[in-house]
Amino acid sequence: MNKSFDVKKFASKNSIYIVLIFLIIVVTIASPKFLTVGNIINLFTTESIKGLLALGVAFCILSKGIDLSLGSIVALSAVVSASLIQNPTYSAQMFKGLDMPIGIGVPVAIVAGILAGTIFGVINGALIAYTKIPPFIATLGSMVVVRGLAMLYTNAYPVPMLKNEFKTVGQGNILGIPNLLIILILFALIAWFLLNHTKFGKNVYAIGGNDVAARVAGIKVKKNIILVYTWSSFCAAVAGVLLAARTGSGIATLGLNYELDAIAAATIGGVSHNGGVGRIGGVIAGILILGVVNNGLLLLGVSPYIQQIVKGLIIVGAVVFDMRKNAKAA
Amino acid sequence: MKRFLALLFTCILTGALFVGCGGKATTTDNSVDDGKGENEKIKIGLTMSSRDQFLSTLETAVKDAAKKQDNAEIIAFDAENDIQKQLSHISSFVSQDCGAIIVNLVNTDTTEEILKAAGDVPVVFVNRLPNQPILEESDNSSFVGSDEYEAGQLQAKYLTEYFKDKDDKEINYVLFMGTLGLQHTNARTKAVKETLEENGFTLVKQFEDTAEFDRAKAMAKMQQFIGTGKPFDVVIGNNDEMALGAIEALKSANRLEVPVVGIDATANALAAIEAEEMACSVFQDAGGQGSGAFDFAYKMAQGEKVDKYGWIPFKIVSLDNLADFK
Repeated sequence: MNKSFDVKKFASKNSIYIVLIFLIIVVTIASPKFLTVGNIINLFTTESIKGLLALGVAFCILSKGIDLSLGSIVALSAVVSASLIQNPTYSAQMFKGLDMPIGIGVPVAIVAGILAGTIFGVINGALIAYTKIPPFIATLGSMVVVRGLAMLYTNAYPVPMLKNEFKTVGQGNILGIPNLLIILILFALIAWFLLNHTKFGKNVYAIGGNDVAARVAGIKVKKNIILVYTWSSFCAAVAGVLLAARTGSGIATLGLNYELDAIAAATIGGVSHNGGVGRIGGVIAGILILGVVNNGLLLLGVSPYIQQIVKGLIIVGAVVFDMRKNAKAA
Repeated sequence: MKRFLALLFTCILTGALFVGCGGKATTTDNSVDDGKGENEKIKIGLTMSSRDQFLSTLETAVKDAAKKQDNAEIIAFDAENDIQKQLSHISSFVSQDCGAIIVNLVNTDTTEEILKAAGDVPVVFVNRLPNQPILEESDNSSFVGSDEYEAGQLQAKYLTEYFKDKDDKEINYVLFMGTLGLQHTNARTKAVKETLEENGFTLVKQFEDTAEFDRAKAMAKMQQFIGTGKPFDVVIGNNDEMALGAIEALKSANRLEVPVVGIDATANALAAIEAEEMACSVFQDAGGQGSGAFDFAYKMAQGEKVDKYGWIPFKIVSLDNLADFK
């Protein structure tokens, strides 16, 4: 952490880490299996896809927007990349006879999937920046359109039997650390760097704080808005490609409602929906809180009906706790 | 330049919208099967809730069954999951003098409204079981489909065979339920557990959770289950997608010796059974349901009596009989 950066603000955000530590203690006492290396790695792997989405949507929320299309972008990227890297031995291959050599096929599938998803972020951003449609509406529209495109592209059939070399991208590990986790950490570092050490990051905070003031101060608001939504869709597109690789199949229904979990994680992590307030550390804490809750309830074998209630209460509870703390600090 | 770019994007998006709408229009085109002769045709209306792989197979089976009769004509509509559309289909069938109507319900709660709209025209519900008290009360309607409970029973039957040599008769199980609150989630879950217990096994719940019929969710949860180190002898899925997700997780943990059972007999599941990764699945006979529904409707249109329920049996699919389903 960069300690010279506004220590007071950092302190006022600590409440979220307290919630996290408290949860970890509770779950550890309840289940001795929780604090094992294997389980922690599992927890991270499970949450990393949604974690990527949370890192993306945090930028939108910071700029006083939202991105509801992320789950659909996950699906589109997943099916596009999967369709290019199916085993030619599979009888219902989507592009009959397509058999690229691994060295070309894997990168092509990855890049194509990422491009297919990211383009919709550019469109979202352009729509929001130039037509002044509320981000909620613009991305709600693209959520439906993009899911439809994924369905249309695959005819709603699953795209299975992907080549092993592609699956390794999502299933493999380096020195025992799953690739998914490495990519999540990488993206967290990039997001942190973008927000704290680039002009773009400062612009995002400024636009979220007060977009009129930002424009008067000479910030190119429209360009930055487009960049914000491009970044969030890029994160989702990468997540989609990884999800296809991880599950070995691209399905047009993948990622359904993932955007809601991502928004929940960012919100729990203290990213304010009033814009301009929030930090990547908080987002990571938010992802972890949801992860610990999910994993803890799973380990304890809690009835899935009760799980839903607990999760809902924790989402609201964590935010109320954080807001009260902030109110006192301010 | 930027304004131009924005305009371009807007144009692309608008264009995409129109293309989308155009595509939609063609899929909603209601297909009318025209028969060979002109006179004394028995018209049968068919309204489908939507078109997926399973329902399209069912629809094709109805049409194929009709082709075998030289005086039957099928008028088929797709309700696209819209109850209002389905109701308007019924009215249009009635005004076209259909002799009978086959309904694949969008929503099982609209049974009464459907029957009301059909008036005196006999109705055969297919695949989705309508509200039973209402169905049983009316005298010119019936149901053709499969009993969800049976799907779970068949999984249990297969597992009974699999575990019959086990001495302690105790099964540690992991069960993936489908979306909570749905009728088939409950029936499948209840059936597999009850039948195993009836067959003399003691069930020890290691994990019983929902993965919402979703492969990725089942995989994520399975990985965490394996991580706990709790012993388990079997993984039961309410559908194939979840079973396949569990298999992916078991594969990476080198635990493929554990039998995994699913339901639906999708193409992916069949491939997994062939690769000896999945133990068994359960096949729901879309073709049988379609032709069965047509038979009922054809008879009813001619004033013949039919049974209230036409049950089309589920079938177990394992390595032994895989060839029959490919």
